[in-house]
Amino acid sequence: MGILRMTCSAISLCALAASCRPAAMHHAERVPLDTSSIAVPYFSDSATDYLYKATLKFAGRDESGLLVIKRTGRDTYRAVLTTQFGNRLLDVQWTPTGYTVNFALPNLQKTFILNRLVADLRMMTGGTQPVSKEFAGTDGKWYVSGTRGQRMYFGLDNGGSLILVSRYGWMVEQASVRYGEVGIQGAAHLTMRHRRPRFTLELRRLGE
Amino acid sequence: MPSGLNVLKLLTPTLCFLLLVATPAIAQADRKKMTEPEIASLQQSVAVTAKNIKSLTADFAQYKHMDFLAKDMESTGKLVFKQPDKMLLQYKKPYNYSESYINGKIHINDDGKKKDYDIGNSDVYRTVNKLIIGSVSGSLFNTGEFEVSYYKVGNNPVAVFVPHDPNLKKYMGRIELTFSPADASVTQVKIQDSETDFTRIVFKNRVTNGHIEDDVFRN
Repeated sequence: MGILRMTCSAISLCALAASCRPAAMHHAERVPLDTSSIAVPYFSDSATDYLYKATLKFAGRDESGLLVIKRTGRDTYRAVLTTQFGNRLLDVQWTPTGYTVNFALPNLQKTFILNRLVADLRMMTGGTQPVSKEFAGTDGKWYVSGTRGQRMYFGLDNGGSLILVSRYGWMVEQASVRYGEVGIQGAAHLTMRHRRPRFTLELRRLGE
Repeated sequence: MPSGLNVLKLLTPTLCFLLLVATPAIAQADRKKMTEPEIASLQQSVAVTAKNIKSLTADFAQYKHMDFLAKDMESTGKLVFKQPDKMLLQYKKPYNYSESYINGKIHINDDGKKKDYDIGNSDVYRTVNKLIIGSVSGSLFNTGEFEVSYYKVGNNPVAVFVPHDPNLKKYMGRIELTFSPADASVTQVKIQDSETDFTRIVFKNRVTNGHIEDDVFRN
């Protein structure tokens, strides 16, 4: 009975260990670090207005609008979500450690919502992050930053382009951003998935 | 998306009515308050112009100006209106998105994805409805829902509408209509979000009182 319990515990631990990082990374192997930091490059040009058609999928509903993101300083970004008619829904700017809400609809003026939104936007736009581990697999490589309480995974394809960022808290994924059609001008498509509450934000670049 | 979005959707037909007639925007210059006789004359002229419009089609360009952006967000499309209450607003570039308003419902076509909203009996809708009727009947300036002030910029009359309703005020702090001195048609609409940010809509290729099939609004 004791052996059975120990076996079950070991299997559970293995399953937990396997689930506490992105699935695509499971067959990657630890390799020596080839860099000390990594940055999300797709919102780095402070002269560019990154304009996207945004579709939010939440609780079985789809709503669309426009999202414009801009790097406004060395470590500061601003994002404004509007309707197609130009009415603001959310206007927020942030640094690595804080944020300011310039405008938010009453339904969005809740700290727990804003905290999550800003955390996701911060993850999506990036900044430079120190990395502590590197893994390599057949599809590309992964960098890991942070600690177990708040860990970030950066997935690069074989061409060296960043295609996925995933944020974990205590071994549970909180949110991820997948970058598509990436190039020097940025990412043409992005998909952000948040776990709790569960919603998906899809972005399609406009004006390029 | 928050329920406030529905409020914004309700505002769209109002804005379109306010844009019944538009020509290229005029440059802003110093403004001076209009006299009482000038205000009365403008209101009468607007009523006559609005009364004569049974249908309208126009192309439009929309510019969203935000101070921190390098350039305005620009979109273009087409507006179709037919008395008494049919409206289609169709964005074509840089995305396909259209909304039509028929019988108290909003029909949305978002790049092929279609859905309907029931406008219902909300206070905001009632306000908007008054505005629509007011703009068509010429009693726009007397709805009581807005504080209206009048100015002249050069020869062009400008009416500034500030909503009394704090709920409405969250979505549009101020609306400025600039009229043509020739026929009291609206030449520019500017919806001010803040002191520095606004949305400006310009219409061109306007056709009034042409025949428009109802199918156009089936979006």
